[in-house]
Amino acid sequence: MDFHLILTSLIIAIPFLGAGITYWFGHKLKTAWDYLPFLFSLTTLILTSILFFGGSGGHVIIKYPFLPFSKVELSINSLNVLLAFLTALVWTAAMLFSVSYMKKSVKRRRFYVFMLLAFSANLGVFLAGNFLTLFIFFELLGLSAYPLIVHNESIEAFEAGTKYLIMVFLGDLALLLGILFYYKIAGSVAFATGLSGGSDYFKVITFALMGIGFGVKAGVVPLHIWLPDAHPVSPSPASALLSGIMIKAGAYGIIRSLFSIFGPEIRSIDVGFVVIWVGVVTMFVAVFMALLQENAKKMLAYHSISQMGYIVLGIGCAIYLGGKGALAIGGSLYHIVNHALFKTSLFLTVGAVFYRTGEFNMYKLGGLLKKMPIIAFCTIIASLGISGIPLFNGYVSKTLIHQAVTHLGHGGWVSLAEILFLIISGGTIASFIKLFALIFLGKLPEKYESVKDAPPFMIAGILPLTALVIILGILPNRFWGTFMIPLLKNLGYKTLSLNSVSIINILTGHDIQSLIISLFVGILIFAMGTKYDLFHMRFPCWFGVNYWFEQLTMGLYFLTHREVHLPEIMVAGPGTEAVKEGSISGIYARTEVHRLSFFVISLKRRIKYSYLKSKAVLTEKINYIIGKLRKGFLAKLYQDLSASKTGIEFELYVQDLNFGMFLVLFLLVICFISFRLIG
Amino acid sequence: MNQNMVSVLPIVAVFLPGAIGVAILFAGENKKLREFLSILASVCSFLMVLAMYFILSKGEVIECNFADFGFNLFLCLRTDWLGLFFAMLTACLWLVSIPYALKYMEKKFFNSGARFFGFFTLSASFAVGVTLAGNMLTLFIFYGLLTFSTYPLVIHSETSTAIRAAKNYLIYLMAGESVLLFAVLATIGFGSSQSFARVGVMFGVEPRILLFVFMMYVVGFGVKAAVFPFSNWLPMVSVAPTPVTGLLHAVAVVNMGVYGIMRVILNVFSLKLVQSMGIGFLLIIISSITIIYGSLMALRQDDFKRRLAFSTVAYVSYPILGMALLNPSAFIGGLFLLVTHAFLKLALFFCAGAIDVQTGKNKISELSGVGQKLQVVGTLFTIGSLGLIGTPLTPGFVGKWYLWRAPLETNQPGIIGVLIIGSVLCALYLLYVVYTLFFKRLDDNLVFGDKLSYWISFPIGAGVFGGLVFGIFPKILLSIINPMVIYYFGG
Repeated sequence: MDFHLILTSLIIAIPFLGAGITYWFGHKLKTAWDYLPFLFSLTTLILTSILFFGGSGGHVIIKYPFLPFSKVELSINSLNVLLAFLTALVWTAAMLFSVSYMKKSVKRRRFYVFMLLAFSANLGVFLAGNFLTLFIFFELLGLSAYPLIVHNESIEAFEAGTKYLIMVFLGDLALLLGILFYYKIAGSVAFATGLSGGSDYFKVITFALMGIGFGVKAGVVPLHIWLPDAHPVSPSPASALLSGIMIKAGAYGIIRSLFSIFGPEIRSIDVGFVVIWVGVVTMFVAVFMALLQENAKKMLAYHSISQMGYIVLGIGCAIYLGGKGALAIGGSLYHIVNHALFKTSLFLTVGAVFYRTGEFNMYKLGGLLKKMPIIAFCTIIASLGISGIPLFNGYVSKTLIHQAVTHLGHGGWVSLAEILFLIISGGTIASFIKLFALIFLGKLPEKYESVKDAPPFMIAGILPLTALVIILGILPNRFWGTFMIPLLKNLGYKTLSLNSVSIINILTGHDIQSLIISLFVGILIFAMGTKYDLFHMRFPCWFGVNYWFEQLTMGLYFLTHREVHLPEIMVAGPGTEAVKEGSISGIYARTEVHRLSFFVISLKRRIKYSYLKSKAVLTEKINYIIGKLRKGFLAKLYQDLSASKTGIEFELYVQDLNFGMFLVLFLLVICFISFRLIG
Repeated sequence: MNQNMVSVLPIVAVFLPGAIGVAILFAGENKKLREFLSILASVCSFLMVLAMYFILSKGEVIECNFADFGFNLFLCLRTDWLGLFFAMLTACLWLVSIPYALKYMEKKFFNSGARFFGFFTLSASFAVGVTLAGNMLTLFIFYGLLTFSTYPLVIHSETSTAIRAAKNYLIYLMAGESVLLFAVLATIGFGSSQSFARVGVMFGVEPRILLFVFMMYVVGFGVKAAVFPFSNWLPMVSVAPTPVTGLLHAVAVVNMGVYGIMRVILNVFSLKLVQSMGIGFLLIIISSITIIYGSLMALRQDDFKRRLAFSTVAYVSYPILGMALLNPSAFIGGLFLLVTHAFLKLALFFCAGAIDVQTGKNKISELSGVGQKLQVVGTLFTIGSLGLIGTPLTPGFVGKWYLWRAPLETNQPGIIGVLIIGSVLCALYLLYVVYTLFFKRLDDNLVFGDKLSYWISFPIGAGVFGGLVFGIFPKILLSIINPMVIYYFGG
């Protein structure tokens, strides 16, 4: 057997089997089983690093002829392997973190089982060799993340979980449809570097469908609505992975589909333009929302969306620029790696703070710097990374994407996009100043006097990630040359296009100038925000996609559930006991039942009432006729047919008879028509 | 091309289990004997069908005339790939559900086991008879027998709702069969030949008569396949004992309706004729409406078995849609979904029954958190639901893959909308149950029965994993479907 086949199969199979072993045998090992899931992920990490550093260099396709339609293929190439290694690394760190973090939690067997399942599925997404395989693992990933989101079993968790499931399911359907379209154009589901057949129109539809499918997972505005709810409610290690790695599955999918359909070397200006603006809007909306949050995890979740915006912006620039876009897509992929590192460590540090203090609200914390110095150190490193400060990894990728934006052209919308880019970078800096200042600086609340630093397992989980944040920040060209160049070749860029980007220069005058502007904007936003209390500004509820989505789902809910006690929901406001009883009705009761849906419901009831009334009148008349008939020759027949002659039976019987009469009439009509037709 | 081979094997496959069924009726209250005979009948049928599979894979068709009335009327049994496909499905699931039925009836009902198992065996063997019928007359006769023999099963509990449901059941199905009789007679009258033929039998008939006969067939078989205007009997009979709703009404009876429609399109008319007349469109509309109607109704149900029954109404229309598109890919997808549905819906019904046995609860709103206690049943239900929704690695996904491709190939993109809506609604109504089972808070006052018997949990597992095998190794099923596709669609 092939070495690569065994290795790759093992990488996906070990977490999968590990989930089974944890489920069936884990709890029999008493205290040792908390470490079992970590050991599984460590094994996977070791195998993945063999694959990663072993450097097959080429492009290996691994086929499994005995699986569905023989179309399940894994592929080993530099892009897939890099992302798989990143997944394994971050996952192992989070698993190590959860050894301590989950010790107090109930139902942690379920947590570990689904963590491992999601791990396996995520590796599968990144190692998939064609779209069908990608889809299979993508859907498994979507489903296995649900138990992680609802782990706490609070109302918020279920609410977020339901929303997540609906969105992800719709996205998966769009994706499946997109893949079928792709199959129709290309004749196969394999990844390509540009399709030759098919009209442009058809290609755009295909990409739109696939983009919706992957975009839901990636949290692209306006498909992001599940993300700020779902990521914060899950336990911290799971949120770290949801934000750090799982949404990258969406970004990876967007890259793969875009490059397969349109090809890297051809300029697709219209598509590129749309993708660029989707990216910019995503960045802007999410940063804006992030600044208004009090809950640290929710703020981080919004920043995940915003950083996905950077990635999408880079992808858009790449497709807009065609052959010259290698820098942009390189920046995007670099940012995927960077974001995984610093966002995971941020979620984990916030989780560590929560573990010691029991608080996610930043405004209720403060002064923890002296109590938790190591965690504070890790937080500041990761914050510097995400804010794009030189010598930390975020700066490299953000600068690359910024350079790509400046390559787009001059003036007009490009300038607008660039200005927005700088403001958004400023907003990011402001919100991380806010995060660090509110949690670690200022006055320590009295009840946290006895707080200690995080347990060793947690710190051991976070430290490697922060180390990488620095390493990737100070050795960008090394990383670029070793990993990014082969990866860009694999995506389909020709050597000619790559010559100009073989070395990246991220400290040009323009870069430093924009860095200074961003810093200035960031400090300005922070100062203004704290002075005029802008961070507590709230908008009316109809402002945003989320509200309309909830109204829509509420409509569906009322349409499909017969037993909704509307008055109770109206009376019981958000969060009251009556609403908490049934959690599903609680979900929709928490959003305000506004006039439109009330109108729809009352309309429906009116229709139903009039229907019942007319039915009653009709039944009465038919019963009268049947009553007449009953005295005649049919009487005996009734007696034979009717099984019981009690009152209720008879009522039912009469109703059946109505139906029978109807059928007989139907038959007569058919006979009549038949005679007309034949004769 | 296929050779014909005369053999009594089909007759044995139908009438031996039938005879055993009659024997069970006469065996009375001798429980050991009854159990033995029930299992024996299902094993017999399964082995016979398996034997026929091996004969067919040599490229032969088995034929057997057994009654000739003169006037060009005769009864015959004939096994080809399409018939065998349905026969295998029925026989397989019959084998799976017998242990469940034995245990379930022992736990829930204490009366007249002989009547129940006698008619259970009889109706299953008649269902096999329908699939092996060689001409429309034979098919029609077995069809009627199937209806009659399931009546005592529906009425089994003898409560007023059961009696009412059974009566409605008879009214619906007999009405359908009387329409079918017209169609069968028209086929005999106008058709050039009595047996099923690849090129169809309706030559040189006036188009309007053809259209009319086709519509009568659609109504006649549609009642059994529970298509939209005639679908209400199916949820009504969900009051019957679970093995009956599971095997007969979710699998055997409705599948026979689908089988009838397929036979009509493929063998009585022919693909060419249906295509040239454009009457496939009628079926497309009916099945699309049924898919959406059934799914929406399923969402509204609080009764567990009624929800599953409405889901059956919706799901059984996928194969009809797949047939009506007249496209090989859609045909394969439809048959895949049919098999998916047969295995997994059986398992889901059995899960509902098992929960009923353990807790005595039938309403979904009363099942909060039950899955936390009944983990095996809950997990199997979850896997089964995911399979029906069409998650990858389940046969539902394979079916979806083939079926969704077809409207793109035939340029009818509107149908994709129906498929998407159907899929979304399917996820909504099934995942809500999963959510209730696992994530809602368990009522502490709920009393659970003893440990679940293996006779109950094993058939559920067999149903679910039997289905999953086709999802992971779809080639097994494709090897049976491909000869049909080559035969009817010409490669």
